[in-house]
Amino acid sequence: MTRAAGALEALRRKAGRSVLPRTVPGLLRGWAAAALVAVIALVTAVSTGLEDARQGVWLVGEDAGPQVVYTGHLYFALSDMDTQLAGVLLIGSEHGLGAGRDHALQRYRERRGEAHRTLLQAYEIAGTDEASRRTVRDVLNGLGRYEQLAARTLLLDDQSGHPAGPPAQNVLDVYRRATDLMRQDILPKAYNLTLENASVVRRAYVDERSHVLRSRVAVGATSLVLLAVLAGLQFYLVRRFRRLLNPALAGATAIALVLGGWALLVLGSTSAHLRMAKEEGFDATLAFTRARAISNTAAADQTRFLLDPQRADTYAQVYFDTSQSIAYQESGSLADYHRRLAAAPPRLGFLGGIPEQAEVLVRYRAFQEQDERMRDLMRRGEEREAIALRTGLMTETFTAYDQELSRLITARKTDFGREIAAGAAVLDGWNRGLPAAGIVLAALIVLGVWPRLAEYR
Amino acid sequence: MTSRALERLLAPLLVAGLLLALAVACGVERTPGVEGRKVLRVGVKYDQPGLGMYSHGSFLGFDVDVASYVAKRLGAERVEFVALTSEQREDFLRERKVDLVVASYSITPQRKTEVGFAGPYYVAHQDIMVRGGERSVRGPRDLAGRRLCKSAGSHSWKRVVEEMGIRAELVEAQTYSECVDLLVDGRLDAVTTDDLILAGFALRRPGAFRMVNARFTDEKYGIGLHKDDIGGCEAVNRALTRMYQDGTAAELLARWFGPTGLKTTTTVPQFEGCG
Repeated sequence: MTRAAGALEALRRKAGRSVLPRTVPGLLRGWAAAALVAVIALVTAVSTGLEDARQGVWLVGEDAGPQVVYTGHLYFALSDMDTQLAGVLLIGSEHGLGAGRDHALQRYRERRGEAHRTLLQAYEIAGTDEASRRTVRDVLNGLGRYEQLAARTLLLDDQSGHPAGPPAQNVLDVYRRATDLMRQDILPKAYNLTLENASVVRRAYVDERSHVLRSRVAVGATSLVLLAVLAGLQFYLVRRFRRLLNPALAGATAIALVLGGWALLVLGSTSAHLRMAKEEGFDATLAFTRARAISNTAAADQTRFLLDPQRADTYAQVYFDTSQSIAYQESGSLADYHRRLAAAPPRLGFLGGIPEQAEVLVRYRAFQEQDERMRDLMRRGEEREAIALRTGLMTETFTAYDQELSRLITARKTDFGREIAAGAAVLDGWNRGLPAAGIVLAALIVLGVWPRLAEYR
Repeated sequence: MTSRALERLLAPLLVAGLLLALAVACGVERTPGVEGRKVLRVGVKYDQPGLGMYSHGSFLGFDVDVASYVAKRLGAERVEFVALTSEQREDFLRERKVDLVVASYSITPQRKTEVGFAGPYYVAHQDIMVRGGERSVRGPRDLAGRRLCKSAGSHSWKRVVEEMGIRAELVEAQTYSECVDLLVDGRLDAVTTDDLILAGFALRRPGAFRMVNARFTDEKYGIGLHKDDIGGCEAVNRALTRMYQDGTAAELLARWFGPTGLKTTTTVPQFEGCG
């Protein structure tokens, strides 16, 4: 015999012999006490479960979740600063080319403001996590150095004054330092910061889900115990007192059934809303935010490709790699990629698995088609046409794609908010309802036993 | 039924309830991840100088040191290194023969469908290595007309000759080790592949080679783990963040590749994200 079974046997013998009362009123009191304990257990289980669910909805929906989505914008703002700087250098003294130099500089300043604001926010979110705080500080310091280099690049570029196309070597030298700092040092940290924050949300979500699952089991188990004790008590009353129905206890049984069942439903429903909010809302928002951020760097790599002939091969390769992570097509080179992307929708990457007619894919393909044209023009030595294309039509095409991504981000954010609100709404009203149900249950049990006990006074 | 029978019924009922509650309290399932494991088995290369090399009973190299650092940060008391080849990496992870793979393992969208990737812990770049005295090769375009090693089973030469359309003369070899020997003998002019791999070979013959530092691709070296272990992947990323913040990464890069004149990046790479 195992030790557990042995202990059980001992307990049973002991219980049968001495612990339980022998007299009728004693037994009645014992049953009633057991039922009251079971009521307390059920109410506690339901209340813990609801509290866990509330905690989960709050954490994912109102605390960490939206903040992470907000800091996801940091990468985009930083990346766009470098994009605008590259754009200004490319158009040189032909200030009216494309949207124009003033427009680009204006956007540069706006993005800088956004970057600083999100950084402050990110520092707050980091809380006591030393590694994340350190990352935010490093990004802030890097940004300071970047702004200095950018200002010097612009000054040198103004002084040299060149037609659209690659600037003077001394300008290029400083710009390389700026863009390397941004792309190799600052942007990776900003990206990792969002990933780390998202991992905090994911962990919280997984924890809450397992808590809610555990609460559902606890509610189910305590409901069963209460129902069993109530049934036992009624059965005893029928046998001992020959009463067929005890209305109070029947009422208590009904309430216990409804309370347990309802709590299970509510917990299940909140859990489902939370899952939808996390998977369809949060994850999708973050994925599109990341796609938007790296798409921006891809567009900037086109400009840099035109701007810096010595590094053109590298920028083309990086553009190819970035495109692959946005929408993957197995291909050996950029030209090959363009062909395959036009032929079939991507299976993997941020846009992987998106239906072929989806607007975002249509616009992404248009953007890649023009990339192919731009590189063809460069291969044929028609540099001016390539620059005109990049600063003109391609900027518009990219903006259209970028706007579609923004629209998707907003839509998913709305989904997220709706699911969170629905999850929270389900939990409403339990604060008062639950104690009331507990009190009524207890009262009915006492009421059911009291008259029988009175017979023995 | 007598009251005595009921008494007997009541006790088991309460015990059952108690047991149920206990089961509920302890019943949170734990998936086996790399976090908090006492012993971690890490797959590394055994034939890649500078990265993962088996010699005199132990593994040495940058990958090995990164693996040790990460394992320690994950809370492991002991690391068991397992030698593996490039072809074995996915299978060993899938079959759980190893917990982590740190073996110049490039993150690709295709591989991401099979295994999980933390990191990258380093972004290597395809580069060119020439003989020490050679000054005229400064980028891939300068390889036109020169003799380039075509190592069996490698794609690096393809990038130069096929994708970039540079007309280099190809000289066949079985392995990069053989390429390097041919370069020393003057039977070819350049070897191209990941800079860390080239630097590893260069380490063995100080002064004999020059790294061009052309950096014309990004190769994201990731830490492979089981696909389901998202918590473990996030923990590895946190360890890598610390590795760069506390200066260990810079120190390891300087120790392993500093003598070769390779320019290394000592700031944290952009992670891929887990799951």
